[in-house]
Amino acid sequence: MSAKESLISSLLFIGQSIPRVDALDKVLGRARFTADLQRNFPGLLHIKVLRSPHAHARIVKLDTSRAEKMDGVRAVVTGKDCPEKVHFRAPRILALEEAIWAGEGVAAVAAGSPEIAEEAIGLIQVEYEKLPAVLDAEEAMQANPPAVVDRQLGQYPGSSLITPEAPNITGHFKLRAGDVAKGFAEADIVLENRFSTSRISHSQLEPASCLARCEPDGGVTLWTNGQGVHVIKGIISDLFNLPLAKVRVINPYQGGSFGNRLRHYVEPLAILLALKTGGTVQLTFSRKEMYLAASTRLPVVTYIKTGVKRDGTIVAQQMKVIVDNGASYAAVQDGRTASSGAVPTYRIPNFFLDSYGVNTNTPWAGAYRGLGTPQVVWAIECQLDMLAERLRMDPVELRRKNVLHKGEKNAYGEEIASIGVMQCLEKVVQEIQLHEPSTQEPGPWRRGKGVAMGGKQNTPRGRSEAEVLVHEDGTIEVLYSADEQGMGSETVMAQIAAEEFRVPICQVRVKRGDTAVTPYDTFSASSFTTYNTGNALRLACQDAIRQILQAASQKLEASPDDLTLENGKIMVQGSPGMDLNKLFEPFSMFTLQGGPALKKGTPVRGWGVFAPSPAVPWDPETGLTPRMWNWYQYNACGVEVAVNTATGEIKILRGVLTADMGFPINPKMCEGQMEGGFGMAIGASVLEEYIFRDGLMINSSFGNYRIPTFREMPPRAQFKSFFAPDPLPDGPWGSKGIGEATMVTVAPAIANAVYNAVGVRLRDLPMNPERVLQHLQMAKAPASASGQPPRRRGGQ
Amino acid sequence: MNMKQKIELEVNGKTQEVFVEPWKTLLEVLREDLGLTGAKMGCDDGNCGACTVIVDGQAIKSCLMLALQARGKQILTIEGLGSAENLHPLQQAFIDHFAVQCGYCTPGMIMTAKALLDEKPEATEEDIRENLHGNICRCTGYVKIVEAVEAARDRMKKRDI
Repeated sequence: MSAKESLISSLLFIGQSIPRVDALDKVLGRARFTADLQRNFPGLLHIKVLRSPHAHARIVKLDTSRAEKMDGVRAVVTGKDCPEKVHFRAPRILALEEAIWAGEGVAAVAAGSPEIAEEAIGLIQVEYEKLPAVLDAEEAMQANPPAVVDRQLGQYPGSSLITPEAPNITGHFKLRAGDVAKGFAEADIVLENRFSTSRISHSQLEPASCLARCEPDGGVTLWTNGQGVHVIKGIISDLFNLPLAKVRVINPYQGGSFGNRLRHYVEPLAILLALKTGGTVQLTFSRKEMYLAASTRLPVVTYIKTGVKRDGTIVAQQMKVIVDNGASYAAVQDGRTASSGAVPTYRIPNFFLDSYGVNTNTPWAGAYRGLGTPQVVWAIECQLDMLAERLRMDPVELRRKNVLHKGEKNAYGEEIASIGVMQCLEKVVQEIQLHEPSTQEPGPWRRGKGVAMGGKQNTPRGRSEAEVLVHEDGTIEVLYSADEQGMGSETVMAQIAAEEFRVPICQVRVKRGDTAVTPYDTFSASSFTTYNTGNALRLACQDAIRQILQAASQKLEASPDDLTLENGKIMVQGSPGMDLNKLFEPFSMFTLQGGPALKKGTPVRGWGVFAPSPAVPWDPETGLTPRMWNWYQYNACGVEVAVNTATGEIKILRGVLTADMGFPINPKMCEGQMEGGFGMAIGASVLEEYIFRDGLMINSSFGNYRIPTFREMPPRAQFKSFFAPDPLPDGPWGSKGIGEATMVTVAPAIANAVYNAVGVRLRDLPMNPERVLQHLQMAKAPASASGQPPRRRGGQ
Repeated sequence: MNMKQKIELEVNGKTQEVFVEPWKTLLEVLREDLGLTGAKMGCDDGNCGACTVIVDGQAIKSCLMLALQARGKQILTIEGLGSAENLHPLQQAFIDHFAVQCGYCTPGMIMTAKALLDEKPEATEEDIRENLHGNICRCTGYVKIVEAVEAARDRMKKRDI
């Protein structure tokens, strides 16, 4: 048995599907979410927001006097009452002078009931002067665009200076690896394409919600389902000039996020109104507001040109990636995160890439499970299948030929430490039986199979701390501040503490997300909670154990190096030495130092901090660096679909996902991430899209914006998930992360399967019936037709 | 003007007196007046199912029913289904099969599944997919929820014998 195998076999809880520690409270309906706390606050004030119906308009007149006079109204605020500062993690609170997207708030009311607040909103009179709007990113990025979205861009107090190339371009990232002209000259085949993805909504089931209470000392306490309590604390302190010590942020359970609650778009307004009224206020978005005024996924247009040798070797690639920020204030987006999807998987010796962040007068966009990489992998993995066809080559063989291997350098110049992507693909190909043609049945449905693979970078961000308290009765309290938006961080942390102390899970209690109690962490993003916070917690446990063994070594007259802690027993060279609870002596009753649950030396308090080593600044002209990101998680997907040639509908008959997430800490929870990522990706692939009329989203409800239900998932025997882990040297027990890459490969696998089924190539998401049918009809039309349906344009 | 009316609601086997405005939904009254916050608000128009409770044996989206309409009916919420010591087989199966992630849809999902299994103890996977498709889950991809409902179905059948 190798050292690694013996380590794994001695594990008690890591690598085991330990039931979720939050599941009991959640199935009993007693787990508390933010809005559930409202009834604890008598006299609670409710906030409603008046929103602009225009994509771009000047606010000529704003009269709130009638609303202010209404019975039960406690405060009305407009853009003039908001702090001048804009923080890029928190969009401007309310519009000032101009409203820059249809849905932006222009005034807000706090009142004694939601009904009064709603009625008061109706009494506010606004006169708008409609201005030209720019809804399409490619139009917006021109030097003289039809509209300038954020006139203040680059000029906010406290923000870094942006000198945009054009007034709506918020950033530009360049990657220049090798000599792309020389590469294309060597190529036997060059293929150029344009791909795009739609604007979609995270649609986490719990709408954004927060409660803010003004405290007697002038400070505030905030309960919120926003992510990152300490980050929110910093933003609130900064925006409102409140001392950090007077801001407390508490985070109940979160009903999903997927990146949506990483930007704090409800908290500042609630704080503003709490401070103004001196009371307690609540702000909970309606579902409609979740579409119009919460974050959305970044729509991306990708131009891709790839040169290959006849044997399939990729020799050059040129890409232009245009990332639509929507109407984001103070955006510093340069498309680098989205375009990172082009780098981690394949060996591309000559690579020329430009990515741009662009503002438009559409609902603002931001992080969404994968941070732009799925949108770019969509282009790459479709492109590869198209190249394989041109080369008359097996698409799997083409990928095998060009995949990066461990120890090689990618186009940034980073050395790859962990990459299991090809093993993922091989497994998927075998399970979906890619090389066996689908069985066709009579009727309009045609079946086909497709695969895709890809990766998602991990951002080396921030600092995670964890604390652990060992009490005199042997129970263990874990304190940390990362989020629990459903992915299971509380369970993973309980597993880690139980493993380190070698105690049953039930002896571990997890306390999370209260800035007055739990130590610093950033937030749960980039699939890094197990890696960042998990590593910090291991160090905290080891710190506490070290203290315990140090104390025991004096009593046992043994070297601490000979001692270990095992389920409440201190072992001397493997034999029982003493019980942990015997280590803690009561205080003398005469000294009056003791107290209930207090013995000498208790609780033992361990502390740990983990900060990933930071990125190495890249050359701004070439983007080259030995460390752009941290590690990469990988995924491959295989699907079998049926396409209805009469209606254009796509049915997902079978799905297979395989993930390289490093060592799986909790296999069932990893499966859950894969099933959930696949489900969400079906939505992005075939269903979901904002539909605009004159810049206003017109399908802003669950009834009209369809997200996958039970019926869109394949039956459960027809969906399988597998692991192909390549352990990460510095991950806890070799783990990386899993949440985001699960969504990276599904859309191109479906498109490749659709092509296999009916011979049409979709380049724009979603592949809804209308779009599929359009392609099918064009394929039937005479060859003189242009061959491509009209391009998608933003905001239409 | 006070438009509140006194009504009696029979919730989880207990008759409770509440004063409600006529426009208040059953969901609002359960959550705000009775403190039963297990049923959740997830959308504005009855399309997510997070607010599902059982009224006279039927799964009902409580955001679409006025509290006044629930007078004289028997209402069962997640809080009345089982306890930590005595979990309903569906609750146990949701834990055992990892059918819970963020947990926001969970109470509504379990209540719809209960109404289905009460009406159709032999419900097949197809029945489950059809009957639960008005309950949305954004986390799980539904795979483990189907698994959990099937496991609960099998356990409930055994218990009946």
